[in-house]
Amino acid sequence: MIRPLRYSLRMISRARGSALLRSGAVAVAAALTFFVLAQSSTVRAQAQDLAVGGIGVDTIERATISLTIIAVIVGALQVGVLMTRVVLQRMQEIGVLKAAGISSRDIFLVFLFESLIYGFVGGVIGCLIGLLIAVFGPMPGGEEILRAFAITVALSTIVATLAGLAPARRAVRAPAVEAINHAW
Amino acid sequence: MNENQEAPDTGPEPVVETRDLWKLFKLGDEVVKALKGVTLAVDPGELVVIMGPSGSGKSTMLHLMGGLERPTKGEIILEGQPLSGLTESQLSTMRHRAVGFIFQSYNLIPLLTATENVELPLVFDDVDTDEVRRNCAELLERVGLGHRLDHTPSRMSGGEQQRVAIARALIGRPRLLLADEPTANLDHKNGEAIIELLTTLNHEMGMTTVISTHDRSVAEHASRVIEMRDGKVISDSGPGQATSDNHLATA
Repeated sequence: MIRPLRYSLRMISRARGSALLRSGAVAVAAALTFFVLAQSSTVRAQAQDLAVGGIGVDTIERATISLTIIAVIVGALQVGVLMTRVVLQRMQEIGVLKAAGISSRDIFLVFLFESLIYGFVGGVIGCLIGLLIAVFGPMPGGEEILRAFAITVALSTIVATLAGLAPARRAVRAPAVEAINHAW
Repeated sequence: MNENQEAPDTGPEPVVETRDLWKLFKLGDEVVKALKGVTLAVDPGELVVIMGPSGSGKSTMLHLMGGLERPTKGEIILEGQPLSGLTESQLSTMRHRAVGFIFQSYNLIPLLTATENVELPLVFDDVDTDEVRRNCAELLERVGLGHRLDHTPSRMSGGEQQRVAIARALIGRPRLLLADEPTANLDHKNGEAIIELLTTLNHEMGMTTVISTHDRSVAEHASRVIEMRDGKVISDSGPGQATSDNHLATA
């Protein structure tokens, strides 16, 4: 596990600009998740204070869940599309790895770890962006922020990894000879 | 010399052997016969050049010999191991252990330095990284790139890139080196230098090497020349001595 992870980190650190861009794409969805999660408890507390009643709190709950689901779907699609492009871009590399007899498991893990890392880094960046946006709304308390941070980063990492499964499988299944001669 | 019991020819066990090898490709509705029953054996230490125009099946031949593709029909025996019975992962392990590939378009990873490209085949192995690094430097030295260890491919010429690719093919200490049109993207002078390097490695390390090419001048360096046309072997100069008089001729 450690060697494919190390290789993923090396490739991401070399890709610099495009790697940051990919994390940024994930961060947009994560920022939305963070913002919604951080605000919802504050808004809910205010709704209760105003004694709007059960209906209001219920609506806030539902809005929170729907917005989070939308953010998760957007994030998953982002990672799926991005990683598919990464796999296609690196077909020749995949071909070389296959020719050198690198196991399918290692090739699979290299690309899965990339998705995971983009999910994690994008999640963290997204939370920071979400925190910046949060100043425009009612400022959530420290506990809400921490909770939203933990959920957002965990969700972002898990969703990105799951979304990376298909592209990673695509990398493994590419026929070696075609991968080597892949042109774009 | 140990005698082979059934085969009529004598000599050491071949590094790779093919028996009635057929390979068909589907191109749309058309079926292309890339190989039509090729039988040959490559002995240890040989430097074989497979000559033929594009479409003659020489690249397919190399891919099959190295276990990169499976034949439609026939058998490949690599280091005494029939490949047809192997699973995909066993075949992969076989390539990892026994074969080094060199490609026409070098296929280096643009983001990695020369050293990192060379170590690529061993990056996932449980080996001492420092030792691998030392071997990489040694190999790059050997192919004449001791001063380019930390250069990325974009800062190297085509000839230099192909040298890195040769070092990468050798880092795993393979028994068989397969070079698919290694000079096709190079000018004559650089191409010549690459072939000379492969010849030297063959002589000094005894590296069994098969080179495919459509360049007739490459054949001058070979201990054996096989000509292919339309998926068949049309001539074979036969197994020569591994370290033949070619050494003197090219020295």
